[in-house]
Amino acid sequence: MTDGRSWNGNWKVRIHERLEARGFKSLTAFAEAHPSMPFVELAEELGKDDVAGVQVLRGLLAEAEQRKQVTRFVRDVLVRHLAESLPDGWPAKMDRSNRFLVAKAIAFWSTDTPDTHQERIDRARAALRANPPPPGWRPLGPDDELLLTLLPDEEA
Amino acid sequence: MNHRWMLGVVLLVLGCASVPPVQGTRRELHQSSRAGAGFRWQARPVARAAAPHLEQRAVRDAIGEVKNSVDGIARGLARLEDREAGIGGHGGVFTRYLEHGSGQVARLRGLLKDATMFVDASDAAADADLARGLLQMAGRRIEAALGSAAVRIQAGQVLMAQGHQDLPKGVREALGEGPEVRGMHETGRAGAGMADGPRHHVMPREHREWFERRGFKGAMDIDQFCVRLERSQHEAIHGGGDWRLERTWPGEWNQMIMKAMERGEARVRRLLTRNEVLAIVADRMKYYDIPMNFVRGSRR
Repeated sequence: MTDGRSWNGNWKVRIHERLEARGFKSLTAFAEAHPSMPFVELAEELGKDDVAGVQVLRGLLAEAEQRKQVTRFVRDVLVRHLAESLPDGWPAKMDRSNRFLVAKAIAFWSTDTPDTHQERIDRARAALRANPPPPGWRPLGPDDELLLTLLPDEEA
Repeated sequence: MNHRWMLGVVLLVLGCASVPPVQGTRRELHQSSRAGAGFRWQARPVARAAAPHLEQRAVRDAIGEVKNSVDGIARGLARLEDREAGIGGHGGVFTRYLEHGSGQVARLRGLLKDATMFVDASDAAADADLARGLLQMAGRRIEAALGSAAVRIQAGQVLMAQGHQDLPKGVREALGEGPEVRGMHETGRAGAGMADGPRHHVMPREHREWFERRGFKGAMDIDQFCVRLERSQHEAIHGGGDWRLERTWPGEWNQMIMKAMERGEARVRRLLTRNEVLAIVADRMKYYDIPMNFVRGSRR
């Protein structure tokens, strides 16, 4: 990874070919088979040197919009960013370094999610700050109980 | 220790030196021919959160070696100055060269100071790719300093041999700003893996002051953190690689980076430190698959 080849050629076709070769009908199915795996690692699973994390995220968003499951996608994005920044879960000790790691995960979360959901995400961010999750909290997927409380599906 | 040898080791370690591709078979032909020279970091398995301590140590040692060498040149210059003062009857023929030499020594020391700063930043980086990118930046300064140091010694000999005649053009150029500029360009190319693509700031120039307030000043200003990208890649990245939109949306990278920075600060409720800013940039570069291979870009 990170040699810049991800942007050569038609990367959307490339991703679909890789999905097909691995027996997945969609990126969503592929992502669900790898719950709480950071985007950069998801991308590496699809192509060690030529798929970028952001491409996987964009593809997942496009599919979520079609399926009208964007809120679920938004929860999934947080799960994966937390897994990347805080692989051992929510820190017990909020020192300067851990505070930054939490901030980075949350910053990327709200940076990577669509404008349509920003207000809800802002409220969820405030709620997370006011009522921090218990130490060790490590959501394993978008259906995590605490996450569902923070950001329930609109339909629900 | 032999400086040349040491530098060779350091540059190899940093992937700056020209080495044949180790595993060229996986690369497309046009890629390997362009990226053949060095920069093997990406080919290695990424050790998450493991900074390359051995490399850092080697670079620090190399800085020490070159520093000794520069001190030697400074002493030599001082002796020449004494002699020039003693033979003052020659109308100060050498004086301007000696003055120039002192200026060069100061510049060399500046390069080494910058190199040390990049190694310090590398030490602080949690991300292995970022740590190596910063080490490369240190390596380029050392290489530039050593290149200039070698030229100084050579020039001194030529100077003595030719007496009051004008120095040959090549040496004049070398004494000027030639060597380190050339050094920068060559290593930049070798290390880039992106051939001659134009340079792009990873920290947006329109937010220069924002970054200055967080420590990106002087030798660590945002102009040091540029990457070469081919046009198609640049457009794709700025367009964010939107799944549906074929047309790009210029400025997306910049907006994304600033948004991440601002959200991060909102959460920690203080200014981010320079290392934290770099950590965010490094994460995003990996996420967009932008090689962490920094070259110096233009201020405007």
